[in-house]
Amino acid sequence: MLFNSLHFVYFFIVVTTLYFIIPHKLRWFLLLIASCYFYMAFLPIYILILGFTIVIDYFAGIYIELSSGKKRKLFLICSLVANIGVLCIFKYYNFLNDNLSLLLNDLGYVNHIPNLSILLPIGLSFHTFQAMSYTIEVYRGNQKAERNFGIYSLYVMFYPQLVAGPIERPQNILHQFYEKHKFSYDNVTNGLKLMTWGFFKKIVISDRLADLVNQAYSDPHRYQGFPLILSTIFFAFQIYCDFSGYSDIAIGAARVMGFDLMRNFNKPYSAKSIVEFWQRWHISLSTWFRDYLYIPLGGSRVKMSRRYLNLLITFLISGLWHGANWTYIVWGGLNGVYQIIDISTKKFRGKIESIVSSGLKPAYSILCQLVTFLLICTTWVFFRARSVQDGWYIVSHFITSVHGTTALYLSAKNMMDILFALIALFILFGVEYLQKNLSLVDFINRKSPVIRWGFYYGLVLIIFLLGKFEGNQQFIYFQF
Amino acid sequence: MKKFFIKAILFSLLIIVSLVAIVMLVSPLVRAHNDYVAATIDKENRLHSLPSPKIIFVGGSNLAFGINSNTISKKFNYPVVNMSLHGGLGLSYMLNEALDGVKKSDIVLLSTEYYLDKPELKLLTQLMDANPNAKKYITLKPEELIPFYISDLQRCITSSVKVIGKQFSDNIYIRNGFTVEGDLVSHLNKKNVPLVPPRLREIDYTDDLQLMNTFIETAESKGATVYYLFPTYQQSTFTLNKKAVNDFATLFHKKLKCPILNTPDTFVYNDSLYFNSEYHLNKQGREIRTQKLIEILGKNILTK
Repeated sequence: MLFNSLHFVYFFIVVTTLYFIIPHKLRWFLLLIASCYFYMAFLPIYILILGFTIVIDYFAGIYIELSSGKKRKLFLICSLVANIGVLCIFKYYNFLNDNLSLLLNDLGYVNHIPNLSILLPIGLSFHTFQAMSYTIEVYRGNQKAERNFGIYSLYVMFYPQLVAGPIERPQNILHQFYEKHKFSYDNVTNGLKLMTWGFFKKIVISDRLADLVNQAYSDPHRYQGFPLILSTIFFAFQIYCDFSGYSDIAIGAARVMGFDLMRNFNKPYSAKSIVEFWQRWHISLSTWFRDYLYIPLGGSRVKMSRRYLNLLITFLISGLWHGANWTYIVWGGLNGVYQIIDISTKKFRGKIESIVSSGLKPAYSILCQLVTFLLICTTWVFFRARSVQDGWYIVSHFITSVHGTTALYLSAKNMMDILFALIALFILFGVEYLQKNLSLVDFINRKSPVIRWGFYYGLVLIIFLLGKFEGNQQFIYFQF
Repeated sequence: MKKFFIKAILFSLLIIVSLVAIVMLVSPLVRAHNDYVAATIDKENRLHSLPSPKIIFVGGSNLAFGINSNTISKKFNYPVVNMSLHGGLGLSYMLNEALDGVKKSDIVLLSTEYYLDKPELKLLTQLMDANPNAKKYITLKPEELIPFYISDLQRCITSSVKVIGKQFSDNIYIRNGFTVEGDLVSHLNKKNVPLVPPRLREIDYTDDLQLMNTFIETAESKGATVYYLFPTYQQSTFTLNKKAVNDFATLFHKKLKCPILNTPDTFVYNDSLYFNSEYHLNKQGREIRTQKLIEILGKNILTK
């Protein structure tokens, strides 16, 4: 079920209403059934995969808690193998087999192992990571093993964040399923406000930009120069609005029922360095990799060369987490290299900043933001391109002759989409600039009632007037 | 809870009233009476007023831009009506509209583009604004209703922007850009617009073939004859999509219940003969295609 569908609107109204009507002791059951329905709306059979990992991790959690020494570790390994095994079969098997075939072909052999004709279960990487964080936290002693099978299942399947996060930690969310959430005016209105902001980002900006991006990226070899730059910048905004929009809707939907999910984005394009960007982008995944991969590898407490290697490994795996394609691996690798350059030049950049006179500091700050944004855009090329070859073509043709292809890209048909998206982007970044360190809802809540009502009134009108409602507009991160 | 419901109802009412007000205030200012889609009024009038036997062209813009109905009419001494306008109106609309005027002994020449697809809701709202009669040819699924009303609302906004834009542009998409037979001629003396050959998407034609076969059966039960023609297609786009086009042709030869008069390459011409789309012929291309079409019709159906 897509958040931006009428189906979801009906589902949300029914589930939320029932949630506040029925007794507290039955609520987890309602949410579990609703979450199963939500997931099965995509492809019902894949609920069995979820069921498999849920059963394994549920018992693994209990046995980890009850045992000690090597046994404890063994149960953790069992859980991790089961989760990663599911990922490998459904997400990476064909990719690995294809690459094996290529390798064997080069060596003069034929690979007789067949590919699997299976569809990737929606949101697989998200819920397996959430499940893994549970067993790891139980192993580390930070979380008690959950004895109620239904509640544990709900921890993995809670519908707002089931298919595209935020990837929650058990310490933050599990106890909330036991808390009695009364109908709270503030929670409901704040949740709905956040959802509205998310719909605005998705329907007005992301979906408007999608066609423009697809036009160039589906066959980039027809374009040169400016259209490739423009479509890449559009993609940077598209993916931000698509994914952060999804997160806002997810966090808002949970907030309505009284649940607090972690913040997933914090104005990432205002970052002044690549390191800062990753502290602001997809926070739940970045912190997952930090806590469960980067730090166990030694993190930053090791010598510099090892630290760089840890960073590179973390980002390469993060790339692979996104998808079974070399494009994602290149994307991850590029981000890792940028991080290393960022860290290794930090002192030097600090010196420059100290030399810059106070009057020029804002300009220097903007320059840093711009450079960071442009560097991130070069990584998005590989994230969006269909192949590494396409990605390389795009990057290597950014600065070429603009003759001819610009007019083709900026056709009259596209101009309306561009105009509407630009208006919406102006609103988005204007609000993000003004809200400073506050969340959007807190920022607006501090304004007078007239401004508050005016803002949300305007937002809803803009969604209806400028939003894109035609076609089945998927969320980009659903495929992961 | 009470406070929430009161505020929620107030807010919803405010939004609904505002949206209705926008439609009521802006809509009359941007009426599509002289738009491209308003040409359906003239085409429908001609379809219903012409005596039979007559030739009826049904399809998308490949026919609107690319034939000279007057020449065909004079050549075979048959009255001609070119009902075609825009592929985005959807196959269902095109066929329903034409079927309403099909009579005994009529010859229906069907020529669709390769991208047969769902109708563009925005275009349908524009059409219904311009030609209220069109409603009877449009069937919307229940799940399309809300997107349709939103599209109608958005039409007010996009049309307002376009109204401003039109003052600075040289628009060919206008009702009076058509001949009495229904051919678009407003583009004939314009310069070609450069084109990037688009790649054809994979489309499942099952529903479209079913629609066309139902149309053929109904038209034939009225005593008319239906023929299919592959559309004109720009050379470079044809080369790029050759496999998809050939698959389309094989499927249509197998499943379509009416004679097909040409092959996909019959009306494929050099890129220089196309105006602003891979389907839209310019003045020279239009004449070349018309002569070829006359040759095909003369050989297969009509005597000169």
